[in-house]
Amino acid sequence: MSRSATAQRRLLPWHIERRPDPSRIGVYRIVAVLVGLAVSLLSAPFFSSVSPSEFYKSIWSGTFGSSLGMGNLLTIAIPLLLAGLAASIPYRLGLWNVGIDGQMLIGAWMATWVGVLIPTAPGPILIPLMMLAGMIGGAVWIIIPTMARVRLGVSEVITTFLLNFVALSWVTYWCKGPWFTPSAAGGIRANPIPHQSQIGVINFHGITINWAIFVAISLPVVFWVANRFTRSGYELTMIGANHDAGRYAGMNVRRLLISAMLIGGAIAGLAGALNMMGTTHQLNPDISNQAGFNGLVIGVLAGANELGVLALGFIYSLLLAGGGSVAIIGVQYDLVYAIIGVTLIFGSLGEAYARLRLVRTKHPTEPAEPPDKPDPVYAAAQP
Amino acid sequence: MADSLVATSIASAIGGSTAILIAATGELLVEKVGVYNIALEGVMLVGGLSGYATGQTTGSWVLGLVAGGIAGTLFAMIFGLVTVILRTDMIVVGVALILVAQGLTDVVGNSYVGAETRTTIPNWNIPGLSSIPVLGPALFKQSIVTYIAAWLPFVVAFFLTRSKHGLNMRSIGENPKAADTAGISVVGWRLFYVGVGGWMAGVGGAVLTLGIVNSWQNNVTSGQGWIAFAIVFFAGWQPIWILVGAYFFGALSVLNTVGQAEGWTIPTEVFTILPYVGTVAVMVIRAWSQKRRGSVSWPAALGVPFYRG
Repeated sequence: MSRSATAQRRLLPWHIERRPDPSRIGVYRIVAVLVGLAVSLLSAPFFSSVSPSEFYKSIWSGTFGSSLGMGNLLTIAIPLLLAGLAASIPYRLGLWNVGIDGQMLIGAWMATWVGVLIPTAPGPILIPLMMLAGMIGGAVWIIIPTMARVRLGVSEVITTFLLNFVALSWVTYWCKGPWFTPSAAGGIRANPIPHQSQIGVINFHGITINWAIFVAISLPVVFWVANRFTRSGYELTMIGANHDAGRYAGMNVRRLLISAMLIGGAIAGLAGALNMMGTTHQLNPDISNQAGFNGLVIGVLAGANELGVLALGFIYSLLLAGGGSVAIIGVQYDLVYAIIGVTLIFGSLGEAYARLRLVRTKHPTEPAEPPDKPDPVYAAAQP
Repeated sequence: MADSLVATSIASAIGGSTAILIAATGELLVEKVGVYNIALEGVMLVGGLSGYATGQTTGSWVLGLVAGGIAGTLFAMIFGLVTVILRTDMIVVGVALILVAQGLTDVVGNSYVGAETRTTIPNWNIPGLSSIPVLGPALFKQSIVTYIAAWLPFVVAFFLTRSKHGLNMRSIGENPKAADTAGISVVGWRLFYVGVGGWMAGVGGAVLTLGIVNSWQNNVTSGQGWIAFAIVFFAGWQPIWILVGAYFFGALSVLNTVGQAEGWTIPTEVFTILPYVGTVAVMVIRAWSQKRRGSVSWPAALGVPFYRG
């Protein structure tokens, strides 16, 4: 039996192919994430040295169960939601912003620098200036990878990522050197920012949280609305990762790509600045605390949907806050990373399930063309 | 007679780069067929813990290296199955797997932290060659793993360019549809090489815990897997440049240590950022010169999941 190039060659009786009409991907994603969450949370206690009931009790009390826990959760959520947004905006065009941590660091650095330059300016001027400086810092940090990608086709995955380490070294240098402050807690820290630029807290039913949370929640909504109801948002969504379609339609794809990346960088820088102004009140190399990486995952898994970023971001914050509280009772903090990882894998699987389906192949040895029927005239002509 | 500072510095640069070299070479193979195994750091962690644990239990570093390879392969196959077969997003799953690896190795490896290391990879001074002044101690007092690792990129280069299978591999990475039409199993070979890359990264991790750091601690790789990943880009997917990149980055880190010990005024951060700035610069320059010539260096289908029809 000969094998023509067109013959289907499959080892197994079924194969995977794309669904012709993937719908409700978002639903599948959310369900999958929740399933993954359940699976990992249910199995996690067995990897630790504490009993399941202690495990869950401490997660509860560290998050929803107490006002301190809720405050903690929301504090964690601020940089995480903004980082998720910073990843999802470029991702709408198929671009990966893996440098969010670095952009946050540079944003925080720029904000600190403003505080160093004009330490006596009044609060209502200093705070917006520092936020602006943060945005500029983040945008500046993403320019080189953006231009390299747009003009030279260099993968922004690796360039944005490597700049994270450069940003870390930059901030470390300033915190250890020119801006160094000895502190009781030890560690590498810069001088505290001017008192009037520290973001105030509000008290809500006993939960204390700084007002940056409003920024963190409203910005994704703003962008979602903008993308849905404006013309440029429509263009963005329509192109998606298919830049050629945009070019044929006459859109200035290059400008859209650059703006998306710069906006993403700016938001990341803002996240860093706000995080510093609201929590630590001083620059240190940990200011991002991997929020950028987590934000990337949130943004991508939410499918570049800003409302999805909000939802997934809160789930993530819940896990991280819970992780902190189980660490107090003696469980390794890194276990929460394993929980997050498993949840993410399930989320990806759910998304794959929405896009693909399992189909039975016809019998693998079935020939591609049907066997020829003997020509009756020819056969009859044989002696 | 003690070896000179220069010689020992070069020696530790070469020896210290071995883990990254092996992992990067494996990742090169994976990327040549079109897959980004971004979970490299996680694979090295898993391999490192398995290797160390096996070394502690059996007392044999050979078994430790083998165990590291097996663990790395198994872990990478999770990545392969989920990304190549189920066509999920390589970056999200890769990052997720790194998180899982960090979490699990921290928990499982906790009992090995601070343990007294039972066996490490021994050095094998090549008789005769190692007595050459300066160059001798620098180059010829390494372990057998380092000697093999130094040849690996050349073997891979020969294999990729001169063998039929190497040609098939490269076609999978450049144009999977054409390769599929020619009868090459894209999914099958992608999965296979993810496994091979996993083996090599796992062995690299075991070399790290059994030969370089000689202990286990949480997150022992501390970014070396990421450097290995970056080296593949730095090298423009050419095996010989992987050798250059790995040793260059190793040299930078040794220079940093020496500089701090000798009290140089250059801040240590300058050395820390050089590998990263260097990689970005090399990539930009290479892309710019290739744009003028009209060619690209990366496998065209890198990161694109393959669907038949």
